[in-house]
Amino acid sequence: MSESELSVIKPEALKTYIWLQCFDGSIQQVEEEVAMFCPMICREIVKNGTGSAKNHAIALPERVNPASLSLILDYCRFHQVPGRSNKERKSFDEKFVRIDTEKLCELTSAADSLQLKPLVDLTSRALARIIEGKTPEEIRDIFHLPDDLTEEEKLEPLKNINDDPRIRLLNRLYAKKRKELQERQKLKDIQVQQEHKDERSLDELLCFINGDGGSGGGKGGKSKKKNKRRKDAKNPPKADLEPVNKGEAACAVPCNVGIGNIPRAPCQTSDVQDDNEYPFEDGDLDDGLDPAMQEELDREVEDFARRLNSVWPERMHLGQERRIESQLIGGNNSLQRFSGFNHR
Amino acid sequence: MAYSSFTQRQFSRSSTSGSTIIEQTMSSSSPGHARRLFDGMPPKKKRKSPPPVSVADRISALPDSLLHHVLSFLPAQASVRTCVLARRWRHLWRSTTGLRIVGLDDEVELDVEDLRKFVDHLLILRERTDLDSVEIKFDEFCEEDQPYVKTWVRFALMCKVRTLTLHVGASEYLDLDDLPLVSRHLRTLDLDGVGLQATFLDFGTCPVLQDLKMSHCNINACRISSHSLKHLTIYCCNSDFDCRIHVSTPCLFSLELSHFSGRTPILENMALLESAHVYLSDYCQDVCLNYDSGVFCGANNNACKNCVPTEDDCSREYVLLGGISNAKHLKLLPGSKTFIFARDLKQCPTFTKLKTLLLNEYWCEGPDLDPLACILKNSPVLEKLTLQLFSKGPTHKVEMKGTYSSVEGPAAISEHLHMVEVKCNVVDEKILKVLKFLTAFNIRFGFV
Repeated sequence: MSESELSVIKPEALKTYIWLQCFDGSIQQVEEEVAMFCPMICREIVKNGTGSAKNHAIALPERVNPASLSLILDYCRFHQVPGRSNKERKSFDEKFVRIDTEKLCELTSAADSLQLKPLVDLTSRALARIIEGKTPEEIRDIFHLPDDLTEEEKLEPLKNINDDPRIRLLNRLYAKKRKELQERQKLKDIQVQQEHKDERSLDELLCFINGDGGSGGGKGGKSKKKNKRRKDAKNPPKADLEPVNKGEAACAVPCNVGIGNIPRAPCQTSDVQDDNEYPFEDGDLDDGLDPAMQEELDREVEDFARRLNSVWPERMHLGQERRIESQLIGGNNSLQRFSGFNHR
Repeated sequence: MAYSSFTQRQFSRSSTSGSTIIEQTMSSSSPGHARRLFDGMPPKKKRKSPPPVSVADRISALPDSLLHHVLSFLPAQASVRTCVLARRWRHLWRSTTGLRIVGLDDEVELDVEDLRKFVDHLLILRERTDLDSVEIKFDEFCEEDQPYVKTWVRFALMCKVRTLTLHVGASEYLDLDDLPLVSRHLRTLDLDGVGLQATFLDFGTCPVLQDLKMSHCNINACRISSHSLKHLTIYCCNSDFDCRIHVSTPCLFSLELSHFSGRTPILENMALLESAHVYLSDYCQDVCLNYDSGVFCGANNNACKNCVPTEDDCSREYVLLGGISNAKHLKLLPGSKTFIFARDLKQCPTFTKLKTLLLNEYWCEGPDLDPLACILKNSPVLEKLTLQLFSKGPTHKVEMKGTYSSVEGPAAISEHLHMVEVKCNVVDEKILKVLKFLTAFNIRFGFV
C-alpha cells in the first residue's frame, strides 16, 4: 500500500479530506464536502484527481492567500449544509462581510480566482456599499488610493478622452451650440445698445439740421468725416465709454420729447444688424487725409461739441456726440463697427 | 508613495492586462521577493531612505473585470464619479457589466427629466460592452419622457442584457409599446408600474426567459405565454379586459398570483409546477352573488349563477386548480367572497403530488367544510397541512399542532400526513367546528 492510501485509511477519519496548497507553500486539509462547494476545487478533484493526499494537494491560484482561504472555507462550510433557511443564510452573509476593507478586497480577489460566484457577488456588493455615498476623498482614504490625477483632470475628467470619435463629435456639437448661443446673445446685446443710439441719432439729425447747418461739411466730406470721427472717438479716454452707455437712457428721453420720432429707426436697426454680423469688413481704413484737412475737421468737431454741451447739459461727452454725428453724416454705419469693436 | 503611483501608471498603460503584469511579477519571483515589491521597493530604483510604510492599495490590485463587477452595483452616477479617484479608475466606469439608472438619493422623488441628460451622456460615452443587468427606476414621468424610457429598454436589450428591471413609481402606468420583446439573452424581467399589451406578453421571442415578475402592472391582454418560464409572479396587477387572461407557461416551476384586480386569470396546465401561492383578495371580481346575504352557495340548490358552472360559457373549465393541481406545495388563500376555488373543486381535481398545503378560513366555510374535505380526500400523498384561520400572520396568537395516525379507521385522507397545524387568533366556535371536523379524521390536537 502506498503512503497516500494509508493516509486515507485512518480509523478516526470518517470523512474524506481534501488537501489544498496555497501559493506560499502552506498546505491545509479540509472536509471534502466543504471543498466541493467551490467550483474550481470541485473540478480539480473530479477531473484531475488531485487533492486526495498531502503530496498531491491541489495548487490554488496565487490570489488565494491563507487568510482568505480560511474565510472562504468558513463560507463554504456554512452554505453547503442544505437545511438552512434563506433567513439564516442572509444573516450569515451580512456578518461575514463585516471585515476590514483590505481583507475584503483580498477575499473578493480570492473568491474570483476560485470562481465561487455567490461569494464574489456578496463581496462585490459589500465593496460597492462602501464606495456608495462617499466623496472621492473619503474613498481614497478608505482604500489608500493614490491621488495621482491633476487638478484639471479631476475637474473635467471627460474632456481628456479625446481618442473616441463619438466624444469628439459630441464636443464639436456642443462647441458649435455654445458659439451659436453666444452669438445670439451678443446680437441681442448690441441690438439693445443700438436702439438707444438710433433714437438719439435721429434727434441729433434734426438738431443738426435745425441748429448747425454745417451740412456742407457733412455731405461732401462724408468719408473724411467718418474717418475723423473714428479717430477722434478713439482718442478720448476710455472712461467716457462707460458713462456714455449709462447716460443713454437719460439723454434719449428729452430728445424724443423735444423732437419726435422719425420712422427711420427700423431701417437703421436692420442695417445695424447686418453690419454687426460682419464686423470689421471694411476695417478701420485710412482714407488718406492730409494733416491740414485733419486739423480743420478737428476744429469743427470741437466747436460743435461745445455747442451741444452748452445747450444740452445732460448730454454727455465729446466721444458720444462725434459717434452719432459720424453715423448721421456718414450713413454707412461706421458707428456700429465702433460699438461692435468696443463690445468685443 | 512613489512606487504605488508607478504601479498605477503600469495599470493604466495596459489596463486590460493589468492583472497579468502583477501576476507576472508575482510568479517570476519567490513569495518573499513579491512581498518586497509591495513594500515600496521598486525593482530598478534605489532608495536612500527606508521605504515608507505604505499601506498597500489592495482594491486596485483587483483585475479590471472584478472592478467592473463592483461598479455595476453602484447607481450609475456614483460609478461615473469614480473616474476622479485615481488614474487606474479613470475609465473603469465605461465598461461596467451592469447599469443602475436610479437616483442617488433614495428620499428624493426622481423625475425622468432629471435622469435624461445624464443617461444620454452615459450611453454615448460608455464602451459598447455587453450588459449583464440593467435597472431603471424612477418615480415621476411625463408624456415626452416615455420614448426615452423605451429607448433605454431597447438599448439594454441590444447590449444582450440578462436581467432587466424597470420600476416606475408614478401614479399612472408607463405604457410599453405593443411590440414583442426580442432577446436571445434575457433571463429575468422585473416590471413594476408598467402597462403591458398583448404582443409584449407573448414571450416566444425571448427563448431563455426564466423569471418574470410583474407588480402593479396593467395587463391588457388575453394571454401571457412563455415556453421557457420557470418562475412567475403576478402581484397587485389589474386588467381592464372582460375576458380572463390565459396564463400559458407549461414549464413553470413556481407561481405566485396575489391581489389580482379583475377577473381571475386562467392557469393552463403546468406539469412541472413545484409550488404555487395564490391569494385572491377583495379586488377579485369573481365574487359570489349570494355572499352578502350570508347564504353559502356551495351546497345549496339555489346557488348564484357565478358559483354554479353553467353550460353555455367556459365556466365549466378550471380556472385555477387545473393549472396548479400538479404542485407539491400549495398556499391557497382566497378571499371569502370569491367562488373560483369552490367552483373548481366541483370538478374534483386530484392533487397527485401535493405534499404541503396551506389553507385559510375560506376552505372551512359551509356546514360540512366541503372544500376542505374535498381537497383532503383528493391529496393522496399529503404530508403537512396548515390551516390559517382568520389570521393573516406572520405571527398567530394561538397555534395548535395535531398528529394523525392512520392506523385506526379508514384511510380517508393521506396516509403520509404527519403534521397538521391550526393557527388562529382566538378559539371561537368557528375554530372549534374546524377542530371537530379534523378530529373526525383521527387527527389529535394539542396546544403549542
